[in-house]
Amino acid sequence: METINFADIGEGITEGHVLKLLYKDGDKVEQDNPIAEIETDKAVVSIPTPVDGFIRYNIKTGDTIKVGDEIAVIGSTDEISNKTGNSGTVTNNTSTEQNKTKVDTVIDKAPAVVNNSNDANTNNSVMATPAVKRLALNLNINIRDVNGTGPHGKILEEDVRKFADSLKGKSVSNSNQESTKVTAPATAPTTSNSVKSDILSTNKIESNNSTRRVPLSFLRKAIAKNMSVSSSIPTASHMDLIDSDELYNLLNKTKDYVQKNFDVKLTYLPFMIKATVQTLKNNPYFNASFDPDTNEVILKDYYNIGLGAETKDGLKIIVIKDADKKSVVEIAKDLINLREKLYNNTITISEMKGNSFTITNIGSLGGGFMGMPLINPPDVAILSFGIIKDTPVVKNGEVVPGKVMEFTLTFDHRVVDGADAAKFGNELKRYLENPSLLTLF
Amino acid sequence: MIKEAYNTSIKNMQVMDEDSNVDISLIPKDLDDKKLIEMYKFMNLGRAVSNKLLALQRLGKVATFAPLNGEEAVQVGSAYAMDKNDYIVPIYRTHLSLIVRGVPLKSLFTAVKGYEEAYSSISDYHTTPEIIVVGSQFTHAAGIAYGLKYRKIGNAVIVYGGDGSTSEGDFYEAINFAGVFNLPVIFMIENNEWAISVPRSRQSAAETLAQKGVAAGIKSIQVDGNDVLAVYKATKDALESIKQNGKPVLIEALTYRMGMHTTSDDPTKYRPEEDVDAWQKKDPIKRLQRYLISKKIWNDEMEQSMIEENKELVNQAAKDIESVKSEPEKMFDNVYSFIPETLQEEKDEAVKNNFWQ
Amino acid sequence: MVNLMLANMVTALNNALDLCLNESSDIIVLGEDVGKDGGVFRVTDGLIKKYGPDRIVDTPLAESSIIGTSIGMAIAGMHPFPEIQFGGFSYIGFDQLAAHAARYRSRTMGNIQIPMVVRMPVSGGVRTLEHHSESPEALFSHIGGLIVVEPSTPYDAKGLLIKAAHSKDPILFLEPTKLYRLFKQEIPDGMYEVPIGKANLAKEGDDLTIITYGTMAREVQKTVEENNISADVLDLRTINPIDESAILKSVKKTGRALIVHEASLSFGVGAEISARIGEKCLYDLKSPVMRVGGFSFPYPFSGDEDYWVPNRNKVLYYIKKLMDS
Repeated sequence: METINFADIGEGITEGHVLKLLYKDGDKVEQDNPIAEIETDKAVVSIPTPVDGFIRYNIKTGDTIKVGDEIAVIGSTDEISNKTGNSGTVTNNTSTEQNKTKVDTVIDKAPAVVNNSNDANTNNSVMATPAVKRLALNLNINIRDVNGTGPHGKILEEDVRKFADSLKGKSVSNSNQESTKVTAPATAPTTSNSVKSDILSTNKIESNNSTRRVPLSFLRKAIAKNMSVSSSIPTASHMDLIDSDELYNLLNKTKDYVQKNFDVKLTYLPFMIKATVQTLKNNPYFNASFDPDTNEVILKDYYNIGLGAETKDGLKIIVIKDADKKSVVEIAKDLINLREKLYNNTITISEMKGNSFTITNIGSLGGGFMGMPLINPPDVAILSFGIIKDTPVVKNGEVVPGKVMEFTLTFDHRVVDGADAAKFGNELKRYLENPSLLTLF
Repeated sequence: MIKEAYNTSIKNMQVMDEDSNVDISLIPKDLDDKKLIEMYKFMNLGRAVSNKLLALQRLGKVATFAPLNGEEAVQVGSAYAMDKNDYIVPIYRTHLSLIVRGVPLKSLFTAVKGYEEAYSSISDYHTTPEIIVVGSQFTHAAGIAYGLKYRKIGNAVIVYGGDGSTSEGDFYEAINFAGVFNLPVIFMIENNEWAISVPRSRQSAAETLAQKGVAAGIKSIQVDGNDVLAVYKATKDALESIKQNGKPVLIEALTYRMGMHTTSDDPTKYRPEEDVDAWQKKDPIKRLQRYLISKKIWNDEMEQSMIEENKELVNQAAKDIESVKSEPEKMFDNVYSFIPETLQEEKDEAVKNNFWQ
Repeated sequence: MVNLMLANMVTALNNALDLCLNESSDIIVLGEDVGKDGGVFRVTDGLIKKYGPDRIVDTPLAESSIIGTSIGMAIAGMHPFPEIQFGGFSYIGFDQLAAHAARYRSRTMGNIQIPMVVRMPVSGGVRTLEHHSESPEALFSHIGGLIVVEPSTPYDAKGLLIKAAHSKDPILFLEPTKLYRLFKQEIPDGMYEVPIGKANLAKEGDDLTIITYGTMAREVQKTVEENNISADVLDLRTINPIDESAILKSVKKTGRALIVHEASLSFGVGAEISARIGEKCLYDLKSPVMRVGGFSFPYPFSGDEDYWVPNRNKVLYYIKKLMDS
């Protein structure tokens, strides 16, 4: 069986967009014939199959794929149906990233001795850096009298200082000070060997009387890491109210029909999800995550909506996959399905992760004022809806009873600004205040 | 008084037209059926090689590659006319001239995979490596011709270049040098109408590229580059003329780059598909095939077995280079004719400290 | 409010060119395939549609004339932006750069100046053919009279190119092909300048100073991060004129200097920097100055390129060696 990976086919290409798959899964393909058309930002290219056989794709039209991703497998009908899942991202041998250059993080205690180790003993040269020689000069010391304790007998700054201390009756001056009366500190505060890099100090254990350093347990480290991830996100929030009369009416008009024809109990939430997805499409930076290491925003072309769900074990996230491709009713079905699995403990891990955006629905839990939701990493933002309340509203200059819902959008301020959030909020409002628009998508 | 100082015209030669009708009077006498079939097979092999390397590149198995599709007649017709001991100075697209000369497919594939090993016995074939920096090849060719003449070796040189290459200073300097010193060299201008995205019209306001040779005092002719018989004849004529008077010749062969410049290029960005379609009808392989069939020296059965044979050859070459891999220590061996101490030190340090792992 | 755009180096440069062309009608872009094709790396993509073929000029295939005619255009009062398709082809135009662009101002005592920005992709790592991966910055810097700039991030690329457009000198603007699309950054979508001649202290630390630029700037930062090394990482951004004061300031602080570049080790930018450190702060050094570069011979065919270009192993080895000396 042959695996076809996406290679750097254009001198520095890192990703491509799948335009067209030229066969269906299970079709027979012939050597060197194209199987897919991929658009990079330099060219549209055809990817051929290297062998005859039957094909199974691991990509679909519209996908964005990275160099190294698996495009398809070619094999016998058995082979392609037996192979489950994605064998991962095996980067082939001509991808550009230097994956050969993986670095060992464990550093030898004593780095390899440099080849000219006998230099120290030969001829007249004294193994000391110019900085140390200058110190000796300033201290009126003949550098040849000092014993070196560094590598290869090299004379270190502290060797010179110790030697100076050992000369009785002589006051020693610090190289940086003019005065001749200053006495040297009892122990040299800094030496040329006091380095901060882990590369050389991993094996040194610091200790003193009042504190101890204890490494974190592995588990604790993971928790700490997650905690610091979410608390390290600089956030801000945008809040607004949604006039929900129309939504209220629409639900009441449709829920019996849906119950009867689809056997699904319709609620507000599927509408909220649908409206959110539509809003995200116009505001891609909210359907994203942020990589602080590279300062890159990873925009997602899929819309997997995470939903906070209370269980007896605490808050859990269920994820509606590809919500953009689903109708309100389909989303409602998914919700019921996932919740049931969650409460029966039959839910799979994959149904609880992969979110590109998350919604918490405080409304369903009853009253109260809204809190500030915490971002669910790696999302860029979280949206929280309140309950739909009967509230006096002003319409046409008169105070009338109205249905009003609060929402709060909390977002990662590194990625988006308040103005972006306001735009998001306004679009969301537009959809939910005119929910019939949602039936268009 | 104004009088004529110099007057010339550029001739265009076609032996076989687009419908494969042949002007019998122009067919070189030595071109027998066996040679015709051999040329036809080379042209087909060239296209199979080009298609295979393109496919391998799309899978990341070889590096950037310049396809030759559509230009088979120029490369086969000219290289086939040359003597085995004549020199070929190829460029990044004239893979087929090298194949005709006998350079193994494995070498060619190795070059495209990105290893110098490809060229480790290239001079055995009286060729140089494919030259990438456009224009530089012409001066080398003039120099090789100078050397052959100086050393009284009775052979000639053929150097290739595209339409774009005639814009480079090196081109003018080379034809000038060759003209001044009467050197045995053929400048084969493979005018495929495109220098990446830049059309022929943007390279020169001259009506033909052949006339550039006139200014250097060089005999120049234009031929139908999709007519392998015309290219063959022009090359043979040039060799004959060189033998007679020792003077260089420039041939402009009009052809068309059917594919992309290289695998990094996307021609749909700058030229309409219809232009390409128009040239499909002038396909040099189809043109010769029709002629061979009309001569009753070729048939479907032969075609089928040739296709199978070519498929095997290119698959074998692809397989042969699977084992070609980096041996970084070797990079140091041929920088100079000896290894300087400081360079040896760089190498030893890399090996000893596992820089390459 | 500053609007941000997410850009890789190609889009950043494209955006900078767009802004500069829009700002000054003296500016034109010329070179091979810069028009309809948008440049072989797409840096000039779409510009011909906006500014027309008189300002985005597909030239005949001839590097010497691309640079030479640009010199003439500059004399005539324009501000040309010639593109050389790959740094390896710049040698064909070397005479025009070294003998003419570099000298016009001095030979006329400033009467004629050559405002010109010669853009060219440089360095390797993207599996190209021969002559497409050279790192010629030391050659150009050695001449004197030519400013040599080489950004390593989309932000710097855009800011430096705009600064170059506002300058009066001939500037070689080297763009590492490997960094064209390697990563994206949020950058302001409007005009901003990054100063020419000023290095960027990309990381701060205590134990050593690593001076680098171009493709290696990112590799060095990764090496330092992965190994938790406390180092000043100085990304030169401009090779000539060199930001000597930034180098000396950092080396005086850390007492150790390592220079890392992709270009060949011998007779390179590293040698220049090492000499300056030796001359001006020898007595602050705790260990000898060291250099990491590509091997001292021409860039190999692409199959061996990962072995020629310095990698993180090599950089790390030299950091250890420096700390141990």
